Amino acid sequence: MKLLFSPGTEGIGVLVLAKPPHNSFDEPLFAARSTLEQALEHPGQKALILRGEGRHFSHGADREKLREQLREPGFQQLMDRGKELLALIADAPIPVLAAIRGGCLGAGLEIALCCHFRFAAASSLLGFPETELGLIPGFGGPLFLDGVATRRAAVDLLLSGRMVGAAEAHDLGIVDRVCAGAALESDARDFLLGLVGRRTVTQVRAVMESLRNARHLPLTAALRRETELFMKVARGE
Amino acid sequence: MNEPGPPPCSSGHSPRRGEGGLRLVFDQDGDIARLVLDAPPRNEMGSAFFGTFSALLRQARALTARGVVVHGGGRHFSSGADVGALKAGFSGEGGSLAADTLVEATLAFQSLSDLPCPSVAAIGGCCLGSGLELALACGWRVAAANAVFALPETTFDLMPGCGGTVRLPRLVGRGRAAELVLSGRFVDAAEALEIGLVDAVVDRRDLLAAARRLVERVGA
Repeated sequence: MKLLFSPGTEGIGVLVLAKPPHNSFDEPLFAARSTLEQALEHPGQKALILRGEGRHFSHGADREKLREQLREPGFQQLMDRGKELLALIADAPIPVLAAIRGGCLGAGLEIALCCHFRFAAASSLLGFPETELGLIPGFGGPLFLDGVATRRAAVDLLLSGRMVGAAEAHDLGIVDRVCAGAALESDARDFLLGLVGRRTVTQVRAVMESLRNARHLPLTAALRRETELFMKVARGE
Repeated sequence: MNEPGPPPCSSGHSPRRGEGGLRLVFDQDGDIARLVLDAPPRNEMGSAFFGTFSALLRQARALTARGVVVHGGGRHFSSGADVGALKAGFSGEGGSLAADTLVEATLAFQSLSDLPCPSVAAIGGCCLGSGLELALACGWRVAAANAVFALPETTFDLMPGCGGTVRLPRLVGRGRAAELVLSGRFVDAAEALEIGLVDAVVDRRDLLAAARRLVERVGA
């Protein structure tokens, strides 16, 4: 699947999942790592909107194509490399917001869940159809749901395979805001501008690094690094 | 007069304004220590605050307190550090001194997390900046309905520097933490409860009693 990056104005870039009509992908390494890195590291960039091209966010993996590959050697490694892309987003140096419209299913929903924020158009549909196909969500869905939705909501979504609308997704905690379809991108942009518009690039990156350290480092190491980051920001480096 | 006397360090009967704007009080009937942020009205944290804070915690620990309740003297918990002084401290000559204060503050709050007994922040009114970072270092947080919370550091061209960016995401999740830290916006008690920033919201008049009950319940 192609990723189209445009830096955008005021530090808010846009990254588009581009394989219309459904933006579903044929292989577990679903996009080029270099494009994703370029979008996240672009100079002057302070936040990123991730969306799908056209009517849908993403329908995830193409199940027929995926089934064919399941028994091929190296499939598991490819899946791990695909997951590395998700980790790049989850640990991004700038906030990433998934702007969801249409279908956001399976691995598509897993991509959205690894983002920091999710805004959804009122008519969008979200769900994990994997169990209906005798599989389970295998792209970090169960992990990224934890801490976003309640345990009960997570089990419901993961096992039932049912699709939920934007309003219910909001009630379950997996969507932060439901937007009118026509206002989705502008709402997303306004929200991100409210966060980073008046912050320096150094501030944004320092805060995001420290939040990331909270997940990956032991407490004392994370605290020590926070002090260093604070000094860097305070000295305007 | 047959009741056991208060521990030797107690100033519970003759409260006086402590050094660094802090007081340690052992209540008459109990072995729960109260650490009072006592520089009203805002209980701002000056440069002497953090050293005193660590010293008083050591005292509470030595006297085997069964729990520690941290609260503000008066209407507010704390408005945090003086931003003007803080920013001046980081420019030019005073830079390394300011860095030392920051390390001292982080260690002071960490010693709260490391207590062998429960620690509860009883929060009324403003709980801002390093005031909130102090509350985050406690094991539990009880808020009065009038409490407001924020980490406004980024709006002053800084960022939280006493554990806020490390402890907040562990409580409320990374997305919400990013939103609160980068926007610096205020959160009221009801929202704080909803997102998991505090464990309970109670009537203002019941705040200290609720914090004590929590210490007794979790320390049992």
